[in-house]
Amino acid sequence: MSESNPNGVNPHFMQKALDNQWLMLALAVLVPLVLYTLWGLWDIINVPPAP
Amino acid sequence: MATTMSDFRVDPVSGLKIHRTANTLVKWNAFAAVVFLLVGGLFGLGVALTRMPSVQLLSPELFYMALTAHGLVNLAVWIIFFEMAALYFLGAHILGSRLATPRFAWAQFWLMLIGAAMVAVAVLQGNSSVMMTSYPPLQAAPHFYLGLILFAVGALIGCFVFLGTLVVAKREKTYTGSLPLVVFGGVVATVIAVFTIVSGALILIPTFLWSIGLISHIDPMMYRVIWWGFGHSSQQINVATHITIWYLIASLVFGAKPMSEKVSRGAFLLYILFLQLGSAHHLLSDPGLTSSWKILNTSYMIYLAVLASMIHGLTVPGSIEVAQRRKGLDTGLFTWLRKAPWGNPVFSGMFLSLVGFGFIGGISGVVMSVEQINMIIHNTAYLPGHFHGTLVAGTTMAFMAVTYYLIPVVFQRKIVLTGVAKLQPYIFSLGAWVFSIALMGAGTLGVQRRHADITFAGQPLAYEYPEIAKGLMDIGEIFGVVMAVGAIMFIAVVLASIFTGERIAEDSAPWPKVEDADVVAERTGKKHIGVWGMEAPGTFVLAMILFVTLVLYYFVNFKYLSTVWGLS
Repeated sequence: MSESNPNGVNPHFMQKALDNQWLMLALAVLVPLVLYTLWGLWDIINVPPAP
Repeated sequence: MATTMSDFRVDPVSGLKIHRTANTLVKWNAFAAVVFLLVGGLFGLGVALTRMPSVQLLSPELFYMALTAHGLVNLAVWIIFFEMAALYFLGAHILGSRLATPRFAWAQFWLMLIGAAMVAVAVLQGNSSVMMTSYPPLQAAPHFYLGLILFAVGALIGCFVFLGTLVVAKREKTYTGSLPLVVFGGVVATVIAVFTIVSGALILIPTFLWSIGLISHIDPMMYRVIWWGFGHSSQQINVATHITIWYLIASLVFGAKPMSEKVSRGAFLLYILFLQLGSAHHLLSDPGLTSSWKILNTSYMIYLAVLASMIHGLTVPGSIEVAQRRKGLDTGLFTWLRKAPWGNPVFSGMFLSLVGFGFIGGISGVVMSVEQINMIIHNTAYLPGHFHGTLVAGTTMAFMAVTYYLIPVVFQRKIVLTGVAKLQPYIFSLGAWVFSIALMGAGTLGVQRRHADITFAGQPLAYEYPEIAKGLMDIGEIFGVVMAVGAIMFIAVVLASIFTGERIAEDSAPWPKVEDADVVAERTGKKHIGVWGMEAPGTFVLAMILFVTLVLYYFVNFKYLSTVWGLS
């Protein structure tokens, strides 16, 4: 339960990014939405109809 | 919102500054979770005693009803209620903050409770035995879907109450610098939950409209893609939460610090980016999806999440080893582990969860995600074997372990039935481990999942499995009963402690604290620990055993695949 970045130390930009819960939220929604959901639905939409 | 000092209490057990309203919500969510664990566990017992070829307790109709109830209650309701309690604990208690918007938090509780009750009624009425996945064209009663939607909306509200609490804590400066690692773990679970719940809404709302006749058709393939964004990701919330609990318990019991916060946070970031893509492994046999989609998601992206799990699996016991060595247990490879407090269910439960999750649920999950290997176990008893390894041996065991800590802190009661509590993690884990391994063995021999009678007796497509498969099912289900006994022991300890345990007065003397390992090392002047130039050599050996097991199991499965699927 320790804390990083004690007062007076400028945090690394990566730490700043990790501290931004809204950025984490955006990543957690967008990455699977694109790679899993939208791509998967695109595959299914493009299944050719049975002759 | 103005708060006064009387809105808080300082807990003598943990030393935490606790917001009373947040604490009440933690209590109610945790209590509801345990009650649902009992309900779901009883249905699970019925399922186990029916899948046992030599018993076959329930009729097929009752079996499917019990299986639907067991899946939904134990995979979703128990776990998500407990996660709400965990999020409020992490956001408010750990940060010493007030809870943002308690009214919305109560809305979360009641919506989830009403939703769960509606689903339970629908299932018990007997016309919604569609199992957890509720694949169309199977159709349940409208209140089944509506109940699930209300439950999901409640959980979504809980997620935003947690995120709002972080904003409040930062604004009111209850912490400085970055979020503590365990609270960051809560953030990871929460953001994964948002994708999960949005996926659930995207598919369950049209399915509800289909059930009341407003939509004529649900495409089964599209349903499966979106539903598994909900169904599998919900289990990834559990993974993030129980790993957070491992870190929390290492800190509470040993005064341990993560070996490297940067590495641990980086591993959590890998979860955020890639963990949910594992949903694709449910669809490896679906014809409408391309191999590119399947292989990229399962054999590439998910390995980055597996890497993260292996990092957590290394750093949590590693941090415990370092703490133990700094406190003087610095001889040999495993003295730190041998002399760990195995009689303390908080620790023993957490460590059994770590081993069970890694060796059973983790390894099997990685191997079954390989498209080729998946063909030999898809839709077999291997699947329930695998996810009981993750969700029961891993998540549920971790939640039980931390509950033994939460009872004195949150419910302000001393644990009673301490002998039962000491034994419980071992009984429960023994049951869960053997159950999982036996079902995975039976599944590898082809025993199908989700059927009341594995012999298909009297059916046109009867099939005779080898006797060893039936034997494995019998052994698995016997240990399923052992697992149920372990769960009942847990519930008995929790309920007895809450209702009859000695009350811990608010103004009582502080309980002795576990000393921070760094402080002890500084006092004793101990600068170098470990052997072979490593601070945590024992953990390194354990990690290598896990890695070798994974590699061997991977190749054994490919060898098996080559024998069942010969090329000429």
